[in-house]
Amino acid sequence: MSSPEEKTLILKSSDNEEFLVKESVAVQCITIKNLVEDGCDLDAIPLLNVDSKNLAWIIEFMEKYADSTSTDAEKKDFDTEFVKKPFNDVLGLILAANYLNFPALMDVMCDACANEMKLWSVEQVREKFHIQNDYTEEEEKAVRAENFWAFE
Amino acid sequence: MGGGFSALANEKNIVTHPSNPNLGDLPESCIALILSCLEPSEICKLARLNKTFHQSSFADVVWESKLPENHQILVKKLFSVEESSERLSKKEIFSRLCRPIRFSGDTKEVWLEKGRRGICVAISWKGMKITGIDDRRYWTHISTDESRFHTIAYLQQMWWLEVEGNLEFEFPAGNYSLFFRLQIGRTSKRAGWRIVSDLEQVHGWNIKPVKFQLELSNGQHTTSNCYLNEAAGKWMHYHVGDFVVENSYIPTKLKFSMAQIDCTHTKAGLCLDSVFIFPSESMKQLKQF
Repeated sequence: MSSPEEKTLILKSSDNEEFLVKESVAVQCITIKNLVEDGCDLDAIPLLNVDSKNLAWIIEFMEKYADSTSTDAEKKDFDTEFVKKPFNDVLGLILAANYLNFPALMDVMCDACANEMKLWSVEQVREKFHIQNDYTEEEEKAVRAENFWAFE
Repeated sequence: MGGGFSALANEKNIVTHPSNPNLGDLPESCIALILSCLEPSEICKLARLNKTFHQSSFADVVWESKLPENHQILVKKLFSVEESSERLSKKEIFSRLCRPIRFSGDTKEVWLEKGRRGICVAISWKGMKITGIDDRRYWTHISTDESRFHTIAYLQQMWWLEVEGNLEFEFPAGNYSLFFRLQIGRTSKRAGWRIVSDLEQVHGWNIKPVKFQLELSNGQHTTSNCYLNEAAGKWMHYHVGDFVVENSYIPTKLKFSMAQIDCTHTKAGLCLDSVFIFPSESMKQLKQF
């Protein structure tokens, strides 16, 4: 039961679903924090680039991280489970966290994405993750040569 | 109210996000953050993926966390005047720092460990004060590729072994260990094989220990006494001691020495290469010179 002073916000996803979130939790997203500080008095905050699927996850993450009783070890365990999502969903959360400017979520999701990518060779990454190679062979050789020092 | 609201509505969101995004849909800023989670070799590998990844790999945010916190001081100290006055990107600074840089008239070398942000320093015997070093009865200077300075000093025979050196350097805060790189006996190459030569000359090392000392201007001080009784022909790192740097922004001033001045016995057959200082956790550095 929230205390009388505890303000809640309504966050509205791009597909018009509304989510009730405590203000103290939601302001982990700097974009939302700025809105609140600017004195936004809308009934619901429309998040045009976050659908309900992503918003539900983001709220789950925000609530875990806002919980002062959860220890660092518990957060780490939570993160480990949280990132076990299909790769496209990981990317979707990165885009949403970027849009909402939510540093903690960005860090966790970018780390998960990096961990997935580093397992593969360049050719495998292109294939698995559908990246178009817009280099000529010479250009790619030039990039390799420019970064030789990293492999010494 | 307007500023924040329009930020949500307009900024970087003119195109709504795809529902099933691919890596190609990520803006450069997000790719840069992903790359910043990786090791330098992985970053440089993925820079070949496509032009966007390549471009993102140049972002300062990717390399900032890999540089020591006092890298601006190190740039001023170690890079040429022209280089340090240019606005170098963090990537350029990183790539320059992780290749060894000579300083102090070529007698010292510093480099940044790629993996752990640790600064390592090597000091050649040429940068040390060695009793009798120019007297060819006692010491000879040998060119060799077994030293990163391409030269070692070989002690033929002497009563008085005394080697001293000092260093003033802005080490980033952390724990460091100092070692002397020494070899009993000298080696040469015959038909591609490395063999120990003049082994019969080697003596005096198991009679009394060698005294190694390390002293910092802030009072930290260690002494260790060690017999140099390792097998001949093998380069060894003799641990002198450890020290702690608390402030990355003021130079650490240290003195180190090794001595065996007991005049009851001569010492002979020792190769002195250099002193190494590196972060205490970096034991793998010991495998390379």
